[in-house]
Order: sequence, then structure tokens, then C-alpha cells
Amino acid sequence: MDVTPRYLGAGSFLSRRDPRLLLLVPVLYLVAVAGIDDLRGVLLCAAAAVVYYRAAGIPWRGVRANWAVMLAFTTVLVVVNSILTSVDTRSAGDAEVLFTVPVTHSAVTWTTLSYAATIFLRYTTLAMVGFPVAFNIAPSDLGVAFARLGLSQRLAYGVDLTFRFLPSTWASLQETVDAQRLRGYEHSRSRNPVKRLITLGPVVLPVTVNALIDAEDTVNAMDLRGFGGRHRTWMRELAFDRVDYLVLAGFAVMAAAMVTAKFLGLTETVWVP
Amino acid sequence: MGDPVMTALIEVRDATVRYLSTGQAALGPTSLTVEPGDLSLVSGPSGCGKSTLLRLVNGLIPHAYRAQVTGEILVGGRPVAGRSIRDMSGVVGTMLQDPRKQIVGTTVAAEIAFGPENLGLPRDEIRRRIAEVADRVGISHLLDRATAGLSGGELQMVAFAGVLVMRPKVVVVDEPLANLDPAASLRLMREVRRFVDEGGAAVVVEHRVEEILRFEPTQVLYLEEGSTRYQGSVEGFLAMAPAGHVKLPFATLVARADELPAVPVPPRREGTGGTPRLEYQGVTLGYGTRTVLGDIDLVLGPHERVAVLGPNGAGKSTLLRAAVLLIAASRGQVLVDGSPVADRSILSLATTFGYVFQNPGQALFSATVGQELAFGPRNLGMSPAEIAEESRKVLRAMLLDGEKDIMDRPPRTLSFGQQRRLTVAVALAMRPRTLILDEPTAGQDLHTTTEFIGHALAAESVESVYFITHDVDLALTYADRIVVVDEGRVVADTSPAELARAGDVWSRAGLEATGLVRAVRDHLTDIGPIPHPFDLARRLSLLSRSNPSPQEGTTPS
Amino acid sequence: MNADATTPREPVLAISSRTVVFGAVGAALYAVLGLFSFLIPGTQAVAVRPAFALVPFFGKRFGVIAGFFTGLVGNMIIDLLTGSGLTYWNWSIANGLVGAIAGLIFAYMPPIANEAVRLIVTALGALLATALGLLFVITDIWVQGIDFNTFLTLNYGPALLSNAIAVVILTPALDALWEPLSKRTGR
Ligand SMILES: Nc1ncnc2c1ncn2[C@@H]1O[C@H](COP(=O)(O)OP(=O)(O)OP(=O)(O)O)[C@@H](O)[C@H]1O
Ligand SMILES: Nc1ncnc2c1ncn2[C@@H]1O[C@H](COP(=O)(O)OP(=O)(O)OP(=O)(O)O)[C@@H](O)[C@H]1O
Ligand SMILES: [Mg+2]
Ligand SMILES: [Mg+2]
Repeated sequence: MDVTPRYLGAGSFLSRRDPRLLLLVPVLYLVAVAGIDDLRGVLLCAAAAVVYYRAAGIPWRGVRANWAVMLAFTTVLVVVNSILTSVDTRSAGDAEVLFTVPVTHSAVTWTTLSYAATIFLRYTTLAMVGFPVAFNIAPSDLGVAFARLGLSQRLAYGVDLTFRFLPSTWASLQETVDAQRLRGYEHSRSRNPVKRLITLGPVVLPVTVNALIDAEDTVNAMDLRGFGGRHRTWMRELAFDRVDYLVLAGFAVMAAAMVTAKFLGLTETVWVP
Repeated sequence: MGDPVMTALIEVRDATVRYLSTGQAALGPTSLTVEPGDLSLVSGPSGCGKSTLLRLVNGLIPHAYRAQVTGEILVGGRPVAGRSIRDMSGVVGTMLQDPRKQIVGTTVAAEIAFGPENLGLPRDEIRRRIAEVADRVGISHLLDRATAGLSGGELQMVAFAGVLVMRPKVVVVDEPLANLDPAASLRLMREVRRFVDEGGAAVVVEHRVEEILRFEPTQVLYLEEGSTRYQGSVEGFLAMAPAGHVKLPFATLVARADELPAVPVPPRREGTGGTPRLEYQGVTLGYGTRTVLGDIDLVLGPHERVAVLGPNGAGKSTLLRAAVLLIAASRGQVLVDGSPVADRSILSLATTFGYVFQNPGQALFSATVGQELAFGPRNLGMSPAEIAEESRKVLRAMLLDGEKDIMDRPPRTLSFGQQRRLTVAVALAMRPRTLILDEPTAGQDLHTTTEFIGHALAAESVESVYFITHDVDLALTYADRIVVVDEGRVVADTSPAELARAGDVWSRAGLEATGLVRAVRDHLTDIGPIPHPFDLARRLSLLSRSNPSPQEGTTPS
Repeated sequence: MNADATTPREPVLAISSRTVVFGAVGAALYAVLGLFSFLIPGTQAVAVRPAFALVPFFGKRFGVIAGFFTGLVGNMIIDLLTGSGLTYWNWSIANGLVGAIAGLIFAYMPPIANEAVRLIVTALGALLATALGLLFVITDIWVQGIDFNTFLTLNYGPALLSNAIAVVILTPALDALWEPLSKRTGR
């Protein structure tokens, strides 16, 4: 598996945006859709999310596997959370029962289905606005983006540093697995989770301890190159241009509108066609 | 040394250091003066306090290490007491030992920019400096590359550029050559020399003395167990340095032939042919789509000692990893004892080959050395009594039995050299017939190297040893056969004596003819095994006494 | 010298280069090792992620901030790599809180000399931090629109169970291994 971040959306509309915008949009989007039980409301937001996702220009082949995992996981979650254990106390009560789920005996009505669709849509569209963070921000821009958003300069650099450590940690993991296999180590196939965990020791422990020992030197090397001063230059210059402001404003308005609607009680009932 | 009017860049007067964590003194009264134009070499056996001295001048002691310091230390003419590491980094630029641990940027450009960014310099200035430094050390073509994909030599240069870009007055470097091939070492040291010639100064800590001496250090400091054994000019150092502990130029060995200690060379096992232990038939090896080695044909016998030489990134490790199926051939076939390696179980491979990785920490995970040694044998199904017996035996073979309570020590608290020997012990405990060692002696002093390799070669039950190294003299002295890997191919595969005479090999990238190579070429006529450098030096010294004409090849270069 | 290397010499919330580097190392380790998980047989959704044990360990050894960073950033990267993006952001924060709480618990705990007791206390402290930190996923009630019962039986309960197994077994093992080494570095 490749653990290095992939920069897939090169050249697209969103890749040309300020990375801070890409970090703020998911937050605004979350504010907009959270707590909205009305399918129509979520559909409105979803339209914006789809347009936004299209603008990211992420090639389908690159994220096919990610979407498969995402959709499978979300489907299970939705089925478990909203159909098997129906929580639709919000429904009118005398709704027509379409069928009853065996075993759990929960009744499935149009309300349940509408609600399940709402939740499903909420998750998938959240993923849509989240993907550009992973694939449209050059990994080297993440640290500076956080720093400019007000995070401590040092912690922001920690984000950059995490991406620096990812490939080397992965390489170290592989080498450790190799080294242990040559001493006759094998993954446990046991069904007992405790036993399986214990047999992971020979891999997890050396990888961790090695990383920690090396980190001591990294700390020194950073100190020796003057890290931690009050003022730090970031080579990457970030600037919000007019388009960035427009996109941001668009999502801010949407979030404000949805929150208002929620306060006015317009979106808290499950919509039944 | 230098002009007395000039203020010294670094002035250490009678400094002592005691680490608080152990309470032991690591450095006795030591003095060191560095002025502009000075290139100082600090050497000495493992654990003698070299790194401690460097930590003293760059401020890591006492800021990052808890230690008690006495004496006087001035950096840039001002006392270090009360100054921060950051403050001193303007005067002293430090390159720590392993570049892999000190690289912080994901790309080369980001890595070089790190220091100036911390100084808060304007962007234009940083860009200018990066371009200048990259051009100077010859890494302009790498600026956009990811640091994770660089070779050892490239990485070392990038780390050096990251120090130079901060424009320090002195650079201090801790064992810069440990993982570099001879050519890359030369390139790096040439840059250090240039920095000094252009008005800077440098302090270099290194075991590979011979390679530093070519760059004419202005002074040598030789430490032993924390105290100064010698301080002064190179000539004086060459006259006093203990030959068994410091790798001296071959010419010096000849000059001091009378005082060289006797060295037991492990007996060579008589090779009775038989099925090859390891055979490559048209093998191609690579990672992903990238081919590292193409179309390799190579036969390694069951009773041979084979050294593998070659530049950084040539594929030496890759070649031998194929023997234990850590990488599968994309074309061709690898045979072990006559049958395809892919058909062998991992356990049967583990008892055929004892494989010791380049980085010793990779596999050490147990709470104690005893458990560590037992792990492999237990997987093989040995009984506890057998394991205990075997553990004792391998610890003795690796000279670790002298360490107090060794069986109960956590492995990672041993010194680096001891950890290396422990990994070999761990491999030996599985009673392999062939030992594969990947750069077993990197970063170790000569005495440790000699002891260690001698015992590895002499270990009972081991029929053959294949080892990878950058130390040409080690290969010439201890191997029956040398394989040179370069540019994706095996470019030479001969006996040491013939290799020394093969002129074209030594002009290639990554290899440098050492004093020993030249001496063998010029003075040894027979094709038999090359004697230990000390023995050869004694022979040549006798020869030159009976024949006083100047000896070519024994002159310092 | 008997000074314990883990004794915080700096304010609990200070951000030094040590904090930054260890936070980053922790996040990278958690992200890489966290890609491996296995289901507990007989359950459908309870996946044990052994690497979770790293989160309270980093909190304990390297402080509140490093612990928080390890959990938060590490979990976010796992999500990004496996494909769920930022959708389950509150779980990332919960992970971060586990690290931070572990950091707080152990920052104010006196050093323990007895090794066995230390192991047990480490396991219990880590467990407590896990139980408290994961409570943050109560926000799922708001985000996912589930009720409290579902939260308890389907979200919090299983997550706590699976992570508790990892934490109780691996965190003390890691800590015991690091103990002699932390002294060796001499800080
Ligand atoms: N952080 C530390 N805490 C306690 N003791 C230490 C520490 N670092 C080094 N020492 C001890 O101080 C002595 C000198 O160590 P130092 O690292 O300076 O040796 P060195 O000459 O650089 O050796 P090498 O060639 O192996 O790098 C050794 O006995 C070592 O065990
Ligand atoms: N796991 C890996 N994935 C991808 N590329 C790799 C991997 N391991 C090594 N390489 C690349 O393959 C080439 C050969 O590497 P190898 O480690 O065999 O070189 P080497 O001769 O042992 O070098 P050194 O002297 O630095 O140890 C290098 O360019 C290296 O970057
Ligand atoms: Mg050292
Ligand atoms: Mg190698």
C-alpha cells in the first residue's frame, strides 16, 4: 500500500484555490447539514457539494477504491443506525409499514427510508467536500495553511513533519516485518484477539521504538537549525483572491441559511413524499 | 596555528562533561581551539567522547542533554552559558551522524529552506540562498525531488546544504562518511574543504581517518576514554596513533612496520565445491516499475567468503535480499542449494541464511537480550535447554559475554556496536550455514571492526559468509572473492588480488583505490590471497630496507 | 542520579520542538500501523486497531499536546488513506482527546518505582483515558441523528471494547520497553 499522500487534482479549479479555503469549506458544510432531517434540505446542500467535488477534478480511477470503502462503510452504518434500530420517533405514527425487518422486528416505513436516505446523503456529500483536502492540497501546503488559520506555528510545522515521517515509517515497518520473518515470525491466524495482539509485538514494538530513538536526533537537528523562534517565514505564500472569497461566501451563506432554517423549525421533521 | 590576533571561532578550555542520567564522566579535561581556516579532525575509539565534544560546542549540552559541564567554552568569542541553541546556530552549523534522522523537509527545496525559514529571513533572500547553495554543492537537479526517495550519498549532500545555507562560521560534522561509498565521501569532504578554504572552519569527527587525511587537516585531536591522547599536527598523529585502533594510510603502516601488532586472520575454510549455495540465473530485480539490477548471472559457493562492493544505491542490498525472498525476481530465477528459492519455506531459508540487516535496530524488540536470542530458535521449535546453550555460545562468539548481566539487559540500551554484534548473535542462534551481513562495520572503529569480522568469519557451523561493505580494505583482506555491483550489473567478480590489479574498476564511480590497493598492485606478484595490511606492510618494509629505491604506491597521495 | 526522564520539566501545555517532533512521529506511526486492524470473531463491527495503543502511550510519555496531536492527526490520516475523508471528524477528535487525557493523568502522577505496579497503573490510566476520550463521539447523536441508546450500544460500547483490548495489552508493553531507553537518552 502507498502511504504517501497523493496529489490527484493537479491543475483543477480547486487546486488553484488557497488551501485554507479547502480546509474551511468542509467545516461550513458540516455546519450546514448537521441536524437536518429533511431530505429536501440535504438535497439542496448536496447539489452544492457535487458541484464543488466536480471542481476538484479528482480522476475517478485514482479514488475508486476510496469511494468503495466509503460507500460500503456508510451503507452499513446507515442500515444499522436508521433501519435496523429505527429511531423515527419523528414520524407521524400511522405511517404505512412497507415491510418488517426480520430478527429486529423494526418496521420500515417511508419515513424510515427517507430518513436513511438523508443520513446516507449527509455522509457521502461530507466525503465529497472532504476529498479535496486529501487530494487537492499539496502536502507541503498543509502546514502553512494551518499556520495561517491561526494554529501555533510550531504545531503547524508538526503537520508538515507528519507527512515527512509517513514514508519512512512505512519503510521501517516493511523492513521490520522482513527481519522478523527471517527469524521465523508469522502473523497469528488465531481467532483469539488477545493472542493476535500479543503476537503483533515483534512488529509494533521495534517499529515504534526505532522511530522514537530516531526522533531524539530529529529534535536535536531541528533545534540546531533554529526551529522555534518567534517569527518564522513560510516559503509558500498564501493569498485569498476574489474567487476564493466568493466560494467561501457561498458556503457561508448556505451554512447560515440552513442554521436559520433549523432554528425556525423548518427542517427538523423527516420529509415523507 | 593561525594568527593570534584573530579571535577563535570556538574555544574550549579544559572542559569536562558528566552525563547526569548515568552519572559517568564522558569527557575529561579537553581543549580545542578552532580559528578561521582550520580543519580539525577528531578521532578515537567508539565511546571515547567525540560526539560529546561536538554537543558541547553546538549547545546540545547542556540544553538538550542533562549534563554537568566544567571548564570554559566560547563560541564566536562569547561564553555559551546562558545562550540558546538557536543563538549559537548562527555561528556553529552542525551535521549529525545519520542524515536520515535529521532531514525534516518532504522535498529537497523545503529541507534546505528549513533553517532560513526559522531565522525569519525574507522569501527572496531564502530563494537566493537555496539556489546558491544547491549550485555550490551540486544538487540543483535534486531540488524538486522528495527526500524520501534519495540515495544515502544524495541525502548526505542535502543535509550538508541545509547547514551551509544558514551561513555558519564553523561546521561541525559527526561521522559524515559512515554510510557513504568512497566516491561520495570524497565529494562531501571536498565541499567541507572548500568551505574552510573560503574563510570558514570545520571540525570533523570520523573513524575513517585515512580518507580525511587527504584533505590536510590543520590539527588532529585523538581521544581515548574521554581524555586527550594526542593533539597537534598530522605528522605527529601518524607517528603516535595506535595502529590497531586507527585506520592509518598504508604508507604510514609501512613506515611503522616494526611496531604493528600481530593480527590473527581467521583461517580460510577449504572449499569443497558442491552445489552452489546461491545461484542467480538471468535475474532481474527491482521495486515497482523500476529495475535496480538486470539480468544477473552469479554463482556463490557453499564454502566461500564473498564481499560485495559498489556505490550507494547500486543494488547491493537488493541483490542479497533476493536470497531470502525479501524481494522476488521479476525475471529469471534464484536457486538456493539447487532448488528455486520460491519453493523454500521461510523457516528453511532462515536456517540456511543468517541475514543481518543494514540497520541493527530493525529487529530488536524484546525486553531482554535473553528473550531476544530465544525468539528465533523458539520459532524453530528448539527446546529451552538447547536455546540457553545456544545463546551462551553465540554471545561468546560475538564477544558480548563479558558485559555485565548481558542476558537481562534491554537490547536497545547496548551501544551501537554492541547492538550490531547482538544482531549477528541473533542470526547465529538459528544455526545458519551461511551468514549474510549488510554493511556490518559501518560507523565502527578499526579495533571493533577487526574483532567483529574475525569472529563472524570464524563462527562454527557457518560454512560461508557473504558481506556487503564500503570498506575496500576490509573486502580485500577478508574475502576470497569480490563482486562489484554498479549500474544495474555485476561489473567485476574476481579474487581480491586480481581486483586490485584491475585498473578499470577503480576509476568507476563509487570506488576509490586505497593505499592498500596500490600497494598490492605495485608489490604483490602472486595471485593468492592478500595478506592482512599489517603483514603486507611488514613485508614491504623489509623489502624497502634491502632495496632503498623509493617505492611507488606507498607514497601518500 | 534518580531523576526520571518522564518528569515533565516544562509546563504541561508547552510546545517545544520535542512536542512537535514526537507528535508528528506519533501521528505517522499511528497512521501507518493503524491501517491494520482485524475483526473480533463473532462480531460484525468491532474491529481491533492495535495501533490505538500508541495514542495513550504518546500522551503519557510526551505530554498532552503530543498525545492529542498523535490521536487527531493520526486518525485523520488513516481516514484519508482508507477513504472516508473528513466525514468522521468527531472520531478523530475523540482519538486526540484520549491522548491528551492520558497526558494529563500521568503528568500529575508521582513516579512509581515498582515495575509490576507501574505496568498495571499504566494499563488502567490508559484505559481510563480511552473511556473518557471516546465519550466525545457522543456528538454522533447530533451528527448522525441517533439516540443515546444507539450511541451506547453501537458506537461507544464497541469502540471502547475493542480499543480497551489494544490499550490494556500493548500500551504497558510499549511503556515498559521505552522506560530504560528514555533514561538512556539522558534528558
Ligand atoms: N545521553 C547520554 N547519557 C549518558 N551517557 C552518554 C550519553 N551519550 C553518550 N554517553 C556516554 O558517554 C561516553 C562518550 O560517548 P560519545 O557518544 O561521545 O562517544 P563517541 O566517541 O561519539 O562514540 P562513537 O564513535 O561510538 O559515536 C560513552 O561512554 C557513552 O556511553
Ligand atoms: N523498498 C524499496 N522501494 C523502492 N526502492 C528501493 C527500495 N529499496 C531500495 N530501493 C532503491 O533501489 C536502489 C538500490 O538500493 P539498495 O538498497 O539495494 O542499494 P545499496 O547498493 O545497498 O546502497 P547502500 O550502499 O546505500 O546501502 C536504490 O536506488 C534505492 O533507492
Ligand atoms: Mg559519536
Ligand atoms: Mg544497502
